[in-house]
This record gives sequence, structure tokens and C-alpha cells, in this order.
Amino acid sequence: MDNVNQPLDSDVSQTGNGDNSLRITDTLRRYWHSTSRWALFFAVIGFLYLGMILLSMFGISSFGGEAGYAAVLLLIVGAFVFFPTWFLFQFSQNMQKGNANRDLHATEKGFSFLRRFYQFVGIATIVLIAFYVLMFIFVIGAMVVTMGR
Amino acid sequence: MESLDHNFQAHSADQSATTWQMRQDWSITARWARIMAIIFFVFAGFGLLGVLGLSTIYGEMASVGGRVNPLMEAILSKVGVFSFLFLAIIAVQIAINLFQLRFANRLKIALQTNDQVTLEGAWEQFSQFFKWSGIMLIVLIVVYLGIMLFIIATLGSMMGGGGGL
Repeated sequence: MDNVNQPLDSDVSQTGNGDNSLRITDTLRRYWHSTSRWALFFAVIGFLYLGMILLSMFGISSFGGEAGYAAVLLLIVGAFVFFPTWFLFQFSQNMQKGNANRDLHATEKGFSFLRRFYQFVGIATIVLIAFYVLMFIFVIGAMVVTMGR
Repeated sequence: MESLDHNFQAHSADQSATTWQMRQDWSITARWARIMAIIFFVFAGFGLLGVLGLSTIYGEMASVGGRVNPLMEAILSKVGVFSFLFLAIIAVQIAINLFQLRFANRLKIALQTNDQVTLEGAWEQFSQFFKWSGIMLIVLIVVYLGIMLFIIATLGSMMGGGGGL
């Protein structure tokens, strides 16, 4: 049973409307600076990987026919790589701008891109796991049906 | 009304204050980081079981019926090396992922308790997570390039040897 005696604003500090004693200190800025540099590195690697996917896609699609399916598959993989890479890149750029100019708006924007990155990667991972589980069930089902004949 | 307050807070003169939007984003980020960390630990567990299972199966196959099969023993020595490498990679990745889990937990606590020290601890863990993930990625790229160069060099020497015959 829910605790009806809890204060109505018990969750306020989590959403942050109440006491805002959390400050952006130099220590925090130092950690964010380090994180943003590594995020830029991941983004560069991601863009390089994306470039290789695109090159492969154009190479495969030039064969035509059945190879078109492989090109479409690569396009889907490319979309899965592009969004998190773009979010990481934007996070990195905004955090660096926010740290250099002490720009709160840029810092805020940076964190919104980090949130989007985590949301995208998290949802994509859950979708992929669900897909694998379905495939596994489908294969087991097909095997049972085949053995039953 | 609420958004007006948020805008005021975000663009106020105090540039060292955290904004409502920022803390909202942190809260969602912490939740997803925790989910990702848990999913990773589950997969690392599967990986460990797989490596240990394969090593056991190959160990049994190497001495079927009390006799040691020399061919299987030779394969087993390679499997042992690869199993050790996989175990090492999984161990390093678990260690790296612990940073992410600690980040998620500490950020959640910091937002609930408004504790500055915990907040700084959380972002320290996050910077460590990114740093070690980056170092791991560099190592993996170098190993991958090394393997590619080795394959190309081996193929080149084989083709060069074949051409001389």
C-alpha cells in the first residue's frame, strides 16, 4: 500500500524544482572537459565507421539485383550508427563551448544531447535484444516443427 | 508559468547554478545508464559462461577414453590462449562498466539528496568510464590493424613464394 503520509513534494528534489543547491564547480567542469574530449574521439571514430558503411553500401548497390537488399541492410546499420554518433558529437561540441565560455545554455544543450544519446542507445539495445529473442523462438519453433514431421 | 521560471533559471546571471532542465536530463541519463550497465553485466555473464563452457568441452575432447589425442591437445593449447584472452577482455570490460554503474547510481542519489560531493563523484566516474572506454577502443583498433597487417603480410609472402616456383 502507498504511503499516504509522505509529503506531496517528496519527489521534488529529484526533478529539481525545490532546493537547488547543486552548483557547477571547477571540479565538475574539469570532468566534463575530459569527458567531452573522449566523446569527440568516439564521434570521430563513429563518423569514420559511417563513411566505411556508406562506401560499402555504394559499392554493393553498384552490383544491382539481390545486392540491393544488402545495401538496404547497410543503410539501416548506417542509421543506427549515425544518430548516437551525432548526439555524441553535439554533446562534445556544446560541452566544450559551455566550458570555454562559461555558457550555461550550451552546457544545458550538451546534456540534452547526452540524454538523447543514452535514450537512443538504450532503446536500440532493447529492440535488438527483443529481435534476437524473437529470432531464437522462431528458430526453435521451426526446429520443433521440422523434427515433428 | 513553469517554463517561464525554467527559462529564467537557465539564463539567469548565476552561471554556476544547475538548471531544472539540466537536472531533468541527468535524471533520465542516469536511468538509461543504469539500464545499459545492467544489460552489459548480463551479457558479460553469458560471455563468461560461454568461454568456460567451451574450455571444458575442449578439455574433455582432448582426453577421450583416458587417452590424450595429440591433435586435440594442440588445438586445446590454442583454445586455452584464446579463452584467456576473451576472459581478460571480459574482465576489463566489466571493470570499465562498473564506472558507468557507479555514475548512474551516484547521479541518482545526488539528484535526490542535492549532495554536491556525490554529484562530483558521479561525473568523475563518468569521465573515467569514457576515458577507459576510449583507451580500450584504441587498443582494439591497434590489435585489429595488427591482425589485418599480419594477414596481408602472410598472404603477400605466400603469393611471392608461389610466384617464384
